[in-house]
Amino acid sequence: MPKNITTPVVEFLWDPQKLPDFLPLLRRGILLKARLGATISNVLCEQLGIPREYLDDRVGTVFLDGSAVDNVDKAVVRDGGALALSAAMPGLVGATMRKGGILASMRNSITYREEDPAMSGSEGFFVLRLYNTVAGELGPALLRSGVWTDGKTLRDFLEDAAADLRSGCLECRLDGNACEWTRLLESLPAGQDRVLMRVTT
Amino acid sequence: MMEKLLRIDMGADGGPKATEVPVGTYAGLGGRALTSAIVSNEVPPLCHPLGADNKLVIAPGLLSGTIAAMSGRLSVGCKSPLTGGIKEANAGGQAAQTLGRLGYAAIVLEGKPKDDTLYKIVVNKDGTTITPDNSLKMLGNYALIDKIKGEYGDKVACISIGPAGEMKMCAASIACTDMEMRPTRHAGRGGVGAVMGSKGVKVIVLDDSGMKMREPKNPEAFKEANKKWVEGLKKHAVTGEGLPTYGTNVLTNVLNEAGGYPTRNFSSGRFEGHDKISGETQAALEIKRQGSATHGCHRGCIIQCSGIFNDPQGNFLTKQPEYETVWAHGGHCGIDDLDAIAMLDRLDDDYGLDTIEMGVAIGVAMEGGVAKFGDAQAAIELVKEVGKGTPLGRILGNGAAVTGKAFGVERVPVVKGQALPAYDPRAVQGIGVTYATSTMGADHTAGYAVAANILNVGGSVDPLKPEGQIELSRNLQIATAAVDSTGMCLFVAFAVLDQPETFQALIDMINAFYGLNLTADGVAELGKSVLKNERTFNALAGFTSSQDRLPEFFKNQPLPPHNVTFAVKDEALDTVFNW
Repeated sequence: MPKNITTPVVEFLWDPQKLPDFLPLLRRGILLKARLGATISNVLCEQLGIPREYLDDRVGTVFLDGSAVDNVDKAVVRDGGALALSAAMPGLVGATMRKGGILASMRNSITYREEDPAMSGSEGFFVLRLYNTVAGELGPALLRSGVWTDGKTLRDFLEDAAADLRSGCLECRLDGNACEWTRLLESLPAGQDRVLMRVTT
Repeated sequence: MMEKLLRIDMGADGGPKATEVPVGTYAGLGGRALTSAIVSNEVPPLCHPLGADNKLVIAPGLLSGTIAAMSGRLSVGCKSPLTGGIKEANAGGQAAQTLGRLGYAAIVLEGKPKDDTLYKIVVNKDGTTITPDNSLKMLGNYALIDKIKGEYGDKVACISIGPAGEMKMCAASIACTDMEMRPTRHAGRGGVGAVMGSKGVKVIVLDDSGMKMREPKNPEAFKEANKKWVEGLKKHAVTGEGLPTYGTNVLTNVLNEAGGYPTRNFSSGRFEGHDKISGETQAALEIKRQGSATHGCHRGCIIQCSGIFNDPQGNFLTKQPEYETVWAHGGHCGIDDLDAIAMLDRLDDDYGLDTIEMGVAIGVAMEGGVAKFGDAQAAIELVKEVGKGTPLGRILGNGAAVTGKAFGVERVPVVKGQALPAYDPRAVQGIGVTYATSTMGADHTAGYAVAANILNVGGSVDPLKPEGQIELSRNLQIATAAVDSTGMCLFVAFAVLDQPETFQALIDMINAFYGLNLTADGVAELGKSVLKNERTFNALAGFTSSQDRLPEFFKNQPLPPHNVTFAVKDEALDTVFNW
């Protein structure tokens, strides 16, 4: 008989002034659930509710599985894929990385090319990494609605910056019950087992 | 107006002699256009870079010393002891504005002293004095500037060398003081500091007290154009937001994500410690320690891409290390400790060293077994060896190419003897074309992001063909040479790239200031003429197409994670300058 495993739910009530404490976690990557096999724009805008204008105007640089993306309406996010979002970057190379930029040909060897645009529509998880100003702008809403992370990543993050982080934590709960910080760390699953985390202010 | 050159013959009979001469046939040139014109006209291409025949040309830009925002870039030109070709290195800081207000289009250091006396040059409204001062020998830049401050106050600007320049090392830089009169802004590349050392000049003190801001020929038009210029820079996402918030080091995480972040001497495109040394982490640390993540390097800077990096006790350690420095001393050496990197930056500034050349040399030395990748303390000790001038330090201080030979390393990332900057050309092949073919040796600023379509300097580009990258590189090198000649910080390129009206505002400022009718085509022609001068000099110095190549390993060692090699063919590289 397979074990009935439930995903632990960690909820933080956080000092709004100190919400940027979570930005490093967003850079390491969070897991989000979506109907995958869909385009980046579908996943981000139609499923996660990010305004299309924001994606077009503020997200200047997009990587899918490490490859620079030019067209968010064609590149497809698959189960287990990794999507990274950044603002427009400085420098010649920063400009070459920009989605659909006139210098895109300069990084042809790492440009994303869609080979199978078929939509599968099945639900799965993908990794989202948010950098620089994009992390600050998209992060709070995502954290509020809930993101997944594996136990080890969350434990490492909470331990790495424990002193700074604890000062921002007004309350933490594990599976709906108030929980001490130390006990929370002890209770997080080891390894790759997932945790659902919500942060409200 | 900047209508005169200050020529200083360091080898004159009876001691160094300064002469003011009209700018003459160099009229209308500034920055890189002027340094490269003087070097290509007056320096014998086959001369020894440290000999009497070489000249060190120090030139503000066309708009330096005016109220134009971002106009504080100083160009330094000579024959490079590192590459053996022509060199223009540039720096921020206060020197360009001050020199412009003093009315000089350039200072030209010529000849060579007959002994090893070290000189201090002071330029003010009353003229120039040149004084022997051997008490300055082997002072670090910080101690030197403290001494100068004691003598001349804190309102002057200084151009100086540290011990590395005095020891004539090929990685030696020339320091310019910043707004706080710290020697933090360096014309780093190509060993320009060694040439200043060979002239026996430790420091040039520029005092513009009593001088006024330079006046444009058409003040109203100039004021209006500058207003549009500032508005354009402030509204752009990169110059108005990204750079002020995080500085250039914001690139670390993104280049790592792209798999183009050269790690452990170009053996991989990703570094596991990237976020620990990223711009985001760096900015947060600077703010936490009561430093600053948003700071300008000269008065009139509105982009404010720099910062103040304090030590854990909250004391000033160095200015915010920029992306290239953090990479060279960080990921390139497998080091993920921002405090160690900041200390290396401080030591480089104090000894007067190019942070890129030093970081790459140390990474090459690590591959050669001198120290282990990731050993931050070992890296600090190696830079101290350079400052002391030990035999090991002299190897490292002469750059990555010499270091690679000394320690039998095959993978040495240099072009024309100059270390590559922080972008792997296997991942970003277009910049590989520029690295290979630039007149300067491997240089990330040689072909900048000023749009080909705005300047209209080469027709349309087919992104699917290798020729497209050749054409882009050509156009970008032309445009960059033009921007370098205005004295504008190269970071203005981001706003100019996206906003044609901002580019037009720049042209309008030049026209209003000088009473010209320059057009975008004219700017492109200026850029071409700069490159032609430089290419001619290099050819006469013995350069052939065989120097316009990347090291072999880029062609035969795939770069993880994309496992790509540099695929642009040699024949294509040889067409870059076919215009």
